[in-house]
Amino acid sequence: MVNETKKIQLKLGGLSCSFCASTLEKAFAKKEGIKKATVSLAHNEILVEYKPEKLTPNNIKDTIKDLGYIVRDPDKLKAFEEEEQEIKQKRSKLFLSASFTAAALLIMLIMWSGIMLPWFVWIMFGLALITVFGPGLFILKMAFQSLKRGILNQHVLLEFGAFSGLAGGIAGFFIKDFPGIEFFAVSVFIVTYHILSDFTSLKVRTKASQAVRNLLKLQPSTASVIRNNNEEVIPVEELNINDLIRIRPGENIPVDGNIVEGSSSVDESIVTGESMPVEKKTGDEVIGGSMNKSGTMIVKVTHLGEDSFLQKVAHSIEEARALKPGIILLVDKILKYYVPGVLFFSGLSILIWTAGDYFVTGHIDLVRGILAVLAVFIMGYPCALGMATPLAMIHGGGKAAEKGILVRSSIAFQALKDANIIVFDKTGTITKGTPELTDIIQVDGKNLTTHLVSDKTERAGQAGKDYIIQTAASAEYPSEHPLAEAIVNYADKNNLTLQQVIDFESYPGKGVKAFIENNEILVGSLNFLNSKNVMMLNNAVQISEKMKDNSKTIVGVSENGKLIGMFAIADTIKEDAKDAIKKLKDAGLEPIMITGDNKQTALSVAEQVGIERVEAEVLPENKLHKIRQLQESGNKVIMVGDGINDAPALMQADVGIAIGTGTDIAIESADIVVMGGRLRSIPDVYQIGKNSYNKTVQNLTLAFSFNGIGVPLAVSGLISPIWAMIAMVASVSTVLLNSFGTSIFKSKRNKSKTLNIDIKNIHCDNCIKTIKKVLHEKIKNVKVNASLNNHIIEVTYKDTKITEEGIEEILITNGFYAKVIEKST
Amino acid sequence: MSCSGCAGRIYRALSQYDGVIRSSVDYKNRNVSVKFDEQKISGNKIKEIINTIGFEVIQNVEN
Repeated sequence: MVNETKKIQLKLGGLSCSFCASTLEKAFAKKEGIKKATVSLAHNEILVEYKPEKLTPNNIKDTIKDLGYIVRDPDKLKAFEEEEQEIKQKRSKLFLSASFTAAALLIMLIMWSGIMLPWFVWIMFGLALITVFGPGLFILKMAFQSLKRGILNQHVLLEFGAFSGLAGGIAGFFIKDFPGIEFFAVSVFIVTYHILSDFTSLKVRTKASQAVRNLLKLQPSTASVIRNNNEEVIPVEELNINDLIRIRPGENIPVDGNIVEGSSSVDESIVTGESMPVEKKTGDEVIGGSMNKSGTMIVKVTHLGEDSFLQKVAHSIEEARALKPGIILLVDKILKYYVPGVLFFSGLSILIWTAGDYFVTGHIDLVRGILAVLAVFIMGYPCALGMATPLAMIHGGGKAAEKGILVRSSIAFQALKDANIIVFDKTGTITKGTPELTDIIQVDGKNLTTHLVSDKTERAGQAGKDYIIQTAASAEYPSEHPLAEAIVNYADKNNLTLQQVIDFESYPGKGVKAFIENNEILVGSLNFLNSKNVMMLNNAVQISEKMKDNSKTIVGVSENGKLIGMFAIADTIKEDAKDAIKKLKDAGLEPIMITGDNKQTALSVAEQVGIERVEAEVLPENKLHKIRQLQESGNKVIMVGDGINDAPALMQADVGIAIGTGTDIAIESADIVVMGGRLRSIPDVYQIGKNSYNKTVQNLTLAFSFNGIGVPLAVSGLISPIWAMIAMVASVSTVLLNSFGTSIFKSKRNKSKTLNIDIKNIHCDNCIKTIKKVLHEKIKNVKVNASLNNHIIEVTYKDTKITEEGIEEILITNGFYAKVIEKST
Repeated sequence: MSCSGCAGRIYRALSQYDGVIRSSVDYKNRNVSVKFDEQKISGNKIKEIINTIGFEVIQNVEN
C-alpha cells in the first residue's frame, strides 16, 4: 500500500536548455511524495513517478507552473494553439521592449549631439524600470526560481547585468560624473536582447517540433464493432474483451484478437519485423497495429489496455525515455565555468579597488570599484550565447530540410557528432518492406534455367520471360495478395500488357486459378501446382530449395497442366543501402543490424549491404535492451528504424532516426525524421550534424572571446557601459556573419543544375506531356528534354528551393517510376 | 487514356494515397475502378488526382 506509485507524463513548454531540465528535476527531487522525475529536453516532456496518497496530478502541475514552465494540453491540436499563443505573447513583449530600447537610444543620441536636459535621466530610469519589470518580468521569475535552487543559468546572468545597470543608474544620482544614464540604457538594451534570443529560440524550436508533428496522421483510433447485429464505429478505448470487430482490406488491426470468421494476409512487419506477410485463418491470433492486406475478417478482442501488445510498446517507450542518456548541451557545459568566472572577476574588482588600492596608494576608490563590479556583470552577460544554439538549428535544420530531413531539436546535432555506432532495423529500413519479384526462371526443354531479373544483358532474350510474366500477372491481377501484387507490379514496370481473365478462383495461402482464352493458368506455390497435377520439371525442387536458402519465396506458373516458369519473390534491399552503409563506415561509424526477422534473411541482407554485426529474431521489447546494453558499454548509439517495433529503441538511442513514412509511434519517438525512406540521407544527416556542431563551437568561441576580453578589462574600472553595448553588438554580428555569411554569398551565384532522370514507364505522348507539365508547374526556370525514344530525360533548372529528391518525388507522385541517375553541373 | 501504360500510371499514382485500398485498371476497356475508404479520401479528391496526372474522368459509377 505504501509502495504504490503512479506515473504521469506531461508535455511541457518553456524548456530552453539543459539547465531548465535540471531545474525541474532538482525541484522534484526535493519534493515529498516524488519517487522519480525525468525530463526529456528533446521531446519537451516530463515523466513523474509519485505516491498518489501524498500528491495529486494537480500538485505536480502546480509545481511545474511555479517554476515558470508551462504544462501543455495533451490534445495535440490544442497544444499547437497554445504554442502559437506563446509565440504571439513573446513577440509582443519583444516589440514593447524593443520600443523602449528605441526610446533609450533616441535619448542617448540627443545627449551625444550635445543637448542635455535634466529630466532625461528620469526618463531613462523609468525606461529601465519598466523594461526590467514589464516585458522582462518573466525572465526575472525564471532567474529567481533557478537562483533559489542554486542553479546559475543565463537568465540569472541577465538579471545580474540588468540590476547592475539599474544600480549604476541610481548610483549616478548620488555620485558625480558617474555615467548613470548609460547604465540605465544598458539595462534596457540587454533585457531587450535577451527577450530577442529567447523568442528566436522559441520560434526555432516550435517550428521544428511542429514540422515533425505534421507528419503524424493524428487520426483517433477507431474500430468497427458488431453489437446486437449492428455494426458501428467506436473509439478503440470503448472496446471490451470478447467484442467482435470487423476488419476490412487495407485497414490497420486496432487491437489484439482472435479470428472467428474469415481469413486474410496480414503484414506484421512494423510489429515483428517479419518481411513477408503472414497468412491468417479462422482461429489464428492477430496483433494490434499490424496491417490487414487482403481479406475481410471478424475478430474477437482478446487483449485490451495494459495487456495489449501496443500498450506494452507504449510502456517500453516510456521506460526508454526515462533512461535515455541525457545530454548536457555544450553551451551549458561552458556556462558551468563561465558563471563562477564572472563572479570571480566581480569579487576581484571590489578587492582591487578597495583593499588592493589601499595597499598600493593608501586610499580606497569606491566609485571605481562600483563602476568595475557593475561593468563586470554587464560585460559578463553572454549575449551571443543565447543565439548560438538557435542559429545552429536554423542553419543545420535548414540544410537538413532541403534534403527532406526533419530535426526535432538541435540536441540531435550534438548527439550525432558523439555517436560511434549506428543500428539499423531491417524490414522497411534497409529493405523496401514490400515483396518484389527478383528472379524469373524459364523452362528450357525439360529443365529450368535461372535468369536474374536485374541482369542487364537479358534484353535480347525477352520474349519467353515476358510471356511468363504476362500470363502470371494477368491471372494474379484480381488477387489482392501481396505476392500477386509483386508480380503485377513487375509487369507494370516493364510495360507489359495484361490480358483479361475469366473464371478467377483464389485458393488462400496456396495460389490462384484463372482462364485466359480457354487456357487454364495456375499460379502458386509448388505444392499447390503439384496438388493440381501440374507436371513438375526435373530441377524444379532443387532450384526452389536454393532460392529458399536465400530467403526467397517461390511461385510457379503453369499453363494447361505444364509448368512454364517460376518466380522468386523477396523483400528487396533498397538501392541506396550499400552506398549509404559504406559512407557511414567511412565516416567512422560501426553499423549493426538488429531485426525481428529470421536469421537467414538477416544474414543474407547484412552481407549484401556490408554490415558485419547482426542480431536476428529479436523480439520488439528486446531491441530496446540491446541498445541499452550497447550504451552501458560506453557506446553512443544512433538508431534507424520505421515501425512500431522500433519505437522504444528509437527513444532509447542517443539519436533516434525514423525513416520513410514510418508509423506515428516511430515518428513521435524519434529525434530526426527522414522523409521518403531514402537511406542515402543518413550519411547526409550525420555530416550536417557534425558541421552544425562545429559551427556552434565556432560561434561560441567568437561570442566568448568578446566576453573573455571584456570582463577582465572591466575590472580596471575603465569600461563605460557604452563599450559594453558596443561589444555586445559586435559579438552578435560576428556570430551571425559566421553562421550565414557563406549562404549570402552562395545565393548570389545562380548556378544551374542538370539532372538525368531514368523514367521506366514512358509509353506515349501523353506521358511526355504530363512530365513536362508537372515539372514546369512545380519548378521555376526549368527546361525538360524528353522524348519517346529514350527513357532518360534531362532536366535543367536553377531553382535553389528544389532538390533532386524533390524532383523525383514530383514525378513519382504522378505515377512515374523516376530515378535520378547522374548529375552534371 | 492512350495506352495501357498510362493506365498503369494511374494505378501507381493512386496507390500512394492513404485511403485508396485497391485500384484496378482494365487495359482493354480503359476503365479504372478505385476502391477507397470514404473517411480517408473522397471521390472528388480521386478525380482530382487523376486529372492532375493528366487524364480526364469521363464517367464515374459509384457504389
